[in-house]
Amino acid sequence: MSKRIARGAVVMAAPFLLLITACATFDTTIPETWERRVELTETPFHPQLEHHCGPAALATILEASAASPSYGELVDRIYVPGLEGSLQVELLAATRHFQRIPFRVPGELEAVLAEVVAGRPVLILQNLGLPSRPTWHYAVVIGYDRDRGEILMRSGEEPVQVTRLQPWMRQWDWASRWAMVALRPGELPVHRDFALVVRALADFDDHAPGHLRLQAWQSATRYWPQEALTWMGAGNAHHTLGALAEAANSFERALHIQPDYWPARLNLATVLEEQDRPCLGQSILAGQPMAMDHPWVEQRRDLARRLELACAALSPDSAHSALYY
Amino acid sequence: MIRSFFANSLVALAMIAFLMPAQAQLVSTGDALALETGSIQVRVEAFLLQDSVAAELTALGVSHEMAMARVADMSAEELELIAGRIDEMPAGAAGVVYVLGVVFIVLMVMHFFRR
Repeated sequence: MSKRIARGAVVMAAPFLLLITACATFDTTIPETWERRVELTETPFHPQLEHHCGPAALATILEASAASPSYGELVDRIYVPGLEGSLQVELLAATRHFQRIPFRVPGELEAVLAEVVAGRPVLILQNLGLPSRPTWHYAVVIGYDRDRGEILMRSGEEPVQVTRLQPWMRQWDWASRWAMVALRPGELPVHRDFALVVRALADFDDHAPGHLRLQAWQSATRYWPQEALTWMGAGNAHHTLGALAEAANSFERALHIQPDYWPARLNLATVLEEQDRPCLGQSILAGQPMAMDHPWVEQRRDLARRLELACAALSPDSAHSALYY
Repeated sequence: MIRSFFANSLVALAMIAFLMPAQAQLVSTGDALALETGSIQVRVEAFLLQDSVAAELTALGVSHEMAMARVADMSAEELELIAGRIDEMPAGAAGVVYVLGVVFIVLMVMHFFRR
């Protein structure tokens, strides 16, 4: 009897609990200066097959960024049979595989829509269930209607799914506000937080061919010309392509900005070694003291030793060592 | 801050030696950034995590070959994030039955309150 009452109480209370969480209101302001309505109509549509909202959504944003993965290949890359779904991390990794830079968009409505306004559809994770009983779903935001308070998406089997802003925010909020875009190498996201962007570029760097890495870092040097790391990235990409002079130039730019930036100094000296200019390399290494406990003290010592031997082997005429930095 | 990082950097030293062979090879951009942000340890450990994450994926029905290819595209932080926790991560699937179930509950609640 008392058990039945207790169960009754739970049944009675459940709708209230649901409403309490559901009634949290979210800031859904869309800036007045933006267009009233945006819809990226050119965005391709891939209706999801059973459990395949991950591959469908990822195919959508990859194709929108001019990549052309086959749907089957995407399933192979991100579908996990045992989970009957796809993991966020794997969406990011697969984006790299198809030579696009995955960038996590900050968890604000305005940040998501700003990407859409800039022409990039945004892949989001939604929880269509409850916090305690989640139903995860990936969909792609392709637009909004400010006056009607609506979000437009490619989702599941619907080419254009229209959702009111508040429920959309709740479903997204219950999925930790996860959102990503696929950037073409050379593109920067709308939200240009230096740390976030260089993190994305560096992760891309580990997996991409040289010419795409170069495009990516060159765009960063244009936007952040005063950050040594962007020149470091450009220098390394040039080096991968065998462009030693350009690589040296980039490392020099990094050192102009930050003379104690050892990654660039070591790399510049190494490139000079490759260019058979060991004496100049030597003076580069000598141009800045390195702390005894610096993590790269051994690398510096080995490189200095090699340069010294190579420089001494050259004729005395060519062994001029210019003062450098 | 930087001092204390270098002070207990014996481990880091050994790891960087591992990352950077003595042969003429450039410091990678990723290593440079990791050193700056103090995440070089995560970066080294990631190499070791690749196998275990691939094994977890294989256990969930992904072929071994594809699992290895998948983890190769993951960043150090991503590997660290999912290693040992794949079961707990959100996996977008949207089984239609669930969605219908939730819609049903919401309709019921609305019905309940309209009275």
